Amino acid sequence: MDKREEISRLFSLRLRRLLGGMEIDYEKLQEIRLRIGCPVVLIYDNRERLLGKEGGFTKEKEKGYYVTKNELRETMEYICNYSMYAFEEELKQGFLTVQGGHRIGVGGKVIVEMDRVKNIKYISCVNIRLAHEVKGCADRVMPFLLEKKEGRWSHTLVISPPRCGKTTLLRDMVRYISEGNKENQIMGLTVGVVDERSELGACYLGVPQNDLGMRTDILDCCPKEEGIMMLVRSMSPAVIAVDEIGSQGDKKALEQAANCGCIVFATAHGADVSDIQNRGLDQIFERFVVLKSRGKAGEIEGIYNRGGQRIC
Amino acid sequence: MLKAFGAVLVLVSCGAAGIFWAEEKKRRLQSLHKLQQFFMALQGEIRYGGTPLKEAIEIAGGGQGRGSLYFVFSEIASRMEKREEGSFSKLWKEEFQKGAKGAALQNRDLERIFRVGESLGLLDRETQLNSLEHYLSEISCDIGQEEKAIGEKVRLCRWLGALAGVFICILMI
Repeated sequence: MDKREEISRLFSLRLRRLLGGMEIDYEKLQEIRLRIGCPVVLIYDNRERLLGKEGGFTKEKEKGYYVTKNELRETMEYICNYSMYAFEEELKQGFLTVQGGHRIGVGGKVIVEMDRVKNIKYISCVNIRLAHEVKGCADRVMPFLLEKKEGRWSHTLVISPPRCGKTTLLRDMVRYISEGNKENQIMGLTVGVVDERSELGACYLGVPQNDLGMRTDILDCCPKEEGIMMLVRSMSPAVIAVDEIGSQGDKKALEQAANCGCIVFATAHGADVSDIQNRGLDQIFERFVVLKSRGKAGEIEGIYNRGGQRIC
Repeated sequence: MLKAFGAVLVLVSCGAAGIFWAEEKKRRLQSLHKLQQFFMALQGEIRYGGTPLKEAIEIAGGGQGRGSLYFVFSEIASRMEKREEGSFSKLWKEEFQKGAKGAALQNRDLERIFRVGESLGLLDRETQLNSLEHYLSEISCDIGQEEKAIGEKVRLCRWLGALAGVFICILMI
């Protein structure tokens, strides 16, 4: 199933026809936003555009295609494959992942019970974020993460503010480590991924929709603290990868995994290495890959060693 | 001679109609049993696996053998995969209406099935499970009644067929 089909299957029939009739490069399409009583908004090639009544893009609100309550309900039925209950846990977090790894964010009336979100009903807005894998984006970085003398990977932390490409880079690192590299004579290793927010593997019904390599085992929607030790005990990974560490619990679990002989690859929000040092997250890591906070997503500002010296 | 031949034909056809009618009664009971199995499996899939409806229908319907109900379930799953226009309850209703004749289901059975279809796929898992529970208790009650009466009904149908044939023969002769 290609991306066009994956996406169009999510929408009500009228929207499907309108989107199907347009000449869109789905690689440039980033987001589709539906809100009841509002025109359909598309983020295409980093620019906001409206979907026209007759299809095509428009800039004028009046000429936009307005979403009705029934259409949003129908769309939600298709998104959940007629099974809202099966996505109850994901909906509590405000998003769910569909086939192809696309992320669907939802908004509406939140039902709270005992100070915890129980569910979301009367869903009135939906944001479809299209998954884009960038295979090969880690190729340039990987040689700097290899301890050549010992022939092993370094414990690595990718640092950047949100939306700068940390997860995309980590995903490609996982794929690289798992597959190995014939050219550089690097053997593939077993990688365990704890994917708490379903962003790395974008699992649909437990199956990763993104390519994480042939030696990767994944725990989807699993809290990092528990998942790391679960993987160490059950899957004996050589490398453990987790996205967005932050809490002391995450740090402890990663230290435990490192003590068990696993190499740790992780990402964290931050501006630079000192930011991470101030939060005490730096102790186990030997390499810090810092991404640029401005410009194109995924651009590398520098790679630093444990002493804070720039090595690339 | 011709009259005798005609009488034999009437007797045979009326007898066959009686047997067919009796078989229909048996077929309904079999269908109710299959529906019971299906909905029990569906309930398990939703309760313990949180399995999406399409997969749950495929799994629960897979154990039904190649009867007309099996085709109803597989058709529902395939239409769900295609994401055809309309809500799930509409799709569910249409497919059961198509398959009802082959499964010898009565209007009363269909109405109950349609009611269950309206609650499937909702966000609230409990409501669905309660609805399935309610349906299962209704269907097991129906099966109990039907099992008690089936022997009598089958005999009655067969005799009625044969006696109707005799009655027509007498009238003709």
